[in-house]
Amino acid sequence: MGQIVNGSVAASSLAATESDHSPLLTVAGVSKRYGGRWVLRDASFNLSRGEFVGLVGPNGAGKSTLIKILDGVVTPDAGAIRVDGVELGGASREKIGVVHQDLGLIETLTVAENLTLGIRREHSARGPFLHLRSEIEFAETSLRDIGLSPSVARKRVSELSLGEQTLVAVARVMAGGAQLLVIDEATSSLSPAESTWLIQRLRDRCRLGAGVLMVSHKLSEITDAADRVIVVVDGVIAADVSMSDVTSDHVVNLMAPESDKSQGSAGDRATVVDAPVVLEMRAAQTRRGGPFDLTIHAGEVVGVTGLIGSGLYELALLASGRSKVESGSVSIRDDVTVGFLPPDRMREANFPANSVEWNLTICSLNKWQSPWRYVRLHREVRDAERMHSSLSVKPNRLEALQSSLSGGNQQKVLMGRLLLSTPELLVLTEPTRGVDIATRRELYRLILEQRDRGVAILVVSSDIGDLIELADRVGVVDAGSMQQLRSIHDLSEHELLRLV
Amino acid sequence: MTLDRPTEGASTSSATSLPNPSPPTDLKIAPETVKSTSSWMPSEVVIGSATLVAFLVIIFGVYGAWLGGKFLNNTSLTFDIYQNVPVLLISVGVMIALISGQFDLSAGSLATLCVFLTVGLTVNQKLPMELVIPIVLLVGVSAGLLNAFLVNVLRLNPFIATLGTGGVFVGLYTLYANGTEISFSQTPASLHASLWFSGTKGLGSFQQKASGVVVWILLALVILAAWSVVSLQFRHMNQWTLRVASAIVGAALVAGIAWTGVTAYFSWTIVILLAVALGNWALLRLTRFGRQLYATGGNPVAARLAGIKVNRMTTLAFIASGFFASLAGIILAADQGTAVPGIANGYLLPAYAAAFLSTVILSNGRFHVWGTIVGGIAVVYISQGLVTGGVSFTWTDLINGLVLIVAVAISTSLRRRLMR
Repeated sequence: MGQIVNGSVAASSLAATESDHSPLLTVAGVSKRYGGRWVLRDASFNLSRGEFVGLVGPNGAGKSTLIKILDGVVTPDAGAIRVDGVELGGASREKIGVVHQDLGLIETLTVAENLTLGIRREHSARGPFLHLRSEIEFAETSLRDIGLSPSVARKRVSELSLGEQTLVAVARVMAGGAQLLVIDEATSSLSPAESTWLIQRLRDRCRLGAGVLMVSHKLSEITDAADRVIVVVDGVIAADVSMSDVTSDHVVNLMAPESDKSQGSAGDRATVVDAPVVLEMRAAQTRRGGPFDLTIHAGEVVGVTGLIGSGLYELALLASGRSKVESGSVSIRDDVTVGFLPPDRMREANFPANSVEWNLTICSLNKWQSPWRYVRLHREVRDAERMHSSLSVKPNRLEALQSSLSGGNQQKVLMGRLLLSTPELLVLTEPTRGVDIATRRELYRLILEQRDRGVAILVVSSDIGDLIELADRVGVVDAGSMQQLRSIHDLSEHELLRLV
Repeated sequence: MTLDRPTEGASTSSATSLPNPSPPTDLKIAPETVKSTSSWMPSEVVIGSATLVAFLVIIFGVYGAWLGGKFLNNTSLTFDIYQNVPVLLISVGVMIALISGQFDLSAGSLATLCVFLTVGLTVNQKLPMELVIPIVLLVGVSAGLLNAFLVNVLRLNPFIATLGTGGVFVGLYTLYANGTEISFSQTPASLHASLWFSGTKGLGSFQQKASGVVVWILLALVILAAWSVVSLQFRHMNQWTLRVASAIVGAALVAGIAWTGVTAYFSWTIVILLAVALGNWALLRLTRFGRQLYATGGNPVAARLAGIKVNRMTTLAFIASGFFASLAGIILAADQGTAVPGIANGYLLPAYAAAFLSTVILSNGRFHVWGTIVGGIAVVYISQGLVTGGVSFTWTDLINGLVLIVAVAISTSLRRRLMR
């Protein structure tokens, strides 16, 4: 049994030498439109065995549509997709394995149970009954192949780290026979160390004859790992270049030709120590993290980073008053409106089945209340409309459902929700997670604008880039507690990276 | 849901037998208000109104042509609503629980318990009606609090918790009445004065029509409510054009309703239903509370992190469900005059059916009060029309079930086809 998976990989690397003339994946002239709008137009590219290709582009550029087409969820209006020279469909469909950001694992089942879900039954069943031993053996083999310890097979998925969970999801599609791995932003919630580790495992699969197509907004991941990068802008493939020919600046320019360059480090500013203190934490602690000591003044940005799972988000929950203090103290200046952006946009912040307008205004309804305590709908919609257009959210319809927006646009709406409530303290957790570079710059601009208006801001992020762009002072959370805050200009990027 | 429907002659009120070619537009227009902010693309409008248009075509087009005045007359149409006021009230209650993401399966049994208490407290405990009604409403609120306690504090699954309390409520009225019936006819002579509530002269009777002024005020408020939301969709139009257009449409509506003469047929319980619907619409659509209730049901984690007190929201939702179930019990007692074991238990499923129909009537998948009421009434009309046309009444339940399935299926598949 253990040999089955190894065998198939060996066979496929053999096949690679035999059929070099037909690439693993051929996308030829694929187009798709929704309503009257082309979201993907005449996309063509190849991907050979052993290749690691990055797919990048701004939010709403058509990446997700392309992946849905590869996944078979969406049928293209025109064009063809071939796997090993065979038109996509039936058996060839199994050769493409897509790992989405939400991974698609069932957290309450064990790793072994997840791996055998939807896999041909001979690995796990004898007649009508499950064969528990071969199920475990099958799982252990799959895990070993992907570079995970076989001992995790019996663990529940919820017990694993996010990085391990992502690999289990990869193992699952490979166990189903996938030879082309499509990784759709699955690294966006991983710490840098975890994604490096994951990408290394994926590269190993490439060497054995698989192909990888990876979507990521963390450009450094693509530039470090990929052999080739495909840039999609406005539904069209704008570039398809070998990584050895371009620099990452190049790629950025391809993605957002018109966007302004970074507005320079926030560290140039003198810190505002005379401004009033808005938030003060003294040895504040909960069961999950602490003690934290932290002071934030009006008009300054404090950035905190650390490994995910180190108690990093606990700090944000405490600072925004969402977690109860067990010992120590958290004091927020009287009558201050606190805006809180949770780390997990999908699970913790979106109201997916409601409109954009609804999502924008849900936290500030008291602004439009009449003396009789009903909400003046016209004023609400008018203000939402203003915020919506100042953020240039796409699509340009207040009535669109939040779930129909791309990740970056959802994040803009959530930022708009905070801004509408005119906060005096902003606690932003992972403000740019899963967001393209152009949107990221816009979000940075918005945050710095708030800072200049005198808002006290705490940015908690596992992305060092956020801190470099935004923070006046930075701190690192390690094993639940935080070291001394340091001024940003005392630190170079390398030092920051070393800190984490 | 009702079997015998009075024909025109049976009505004691001044039923002029006007044939009624134009629909009484009041209830049909109201749901526009709940269109929410979500439908401005043509496809969304198509999906949202498909079910409603289908219902209108069947009821007023097909039945109008087939049965004419036998079906489309003010007496029959209002009587069908009258008979279903208790179901629709339960429906509004369970819908509020559904909005907050909770299930209340005890509402039907609670309504029966409240029927028993309404009759029993008068007959056995010899309390005057003025006291009985607040007591019963208080029982409803307490029942809601009990459900909320089990779900929010003891963290029981709402299905199990409310299934359990539903059983308890059945047990309570069985014990209270020794498993038998209680009737207002046993009311002691000293309390006959309080019979303003039940019997043919009582508040709960179909014969007791509400005063025209009250009906017109309510209808005007419903039209105003519809306008307040529909006008949101036209916010970019020239304001004067909009005002003139609204005035014309409003006047046409009022004239249409006046012409049908249907306002003279509203019994007091229908007026209560209309007031409940209007009040709940305002609460859910116009207040922070309503918005936060939807948020709680939509994504409880996000709602909590957005600073909404999620447990308070679900507690209030359970209380609302209990309150409207007890109101349904009081009205049912007034209508029937007798408390029979299990009388309202069977209302639970039609009540849920109406609430779920609201997600496909002028809605993008959300529960809303006008859709619940219109959906519930439409289902009744469709099966009553068949009964009027000669289909045996024993088919009613089958037809109700089919209408629910077909309506939801059509609108769901339309949505899937048009929205990618």
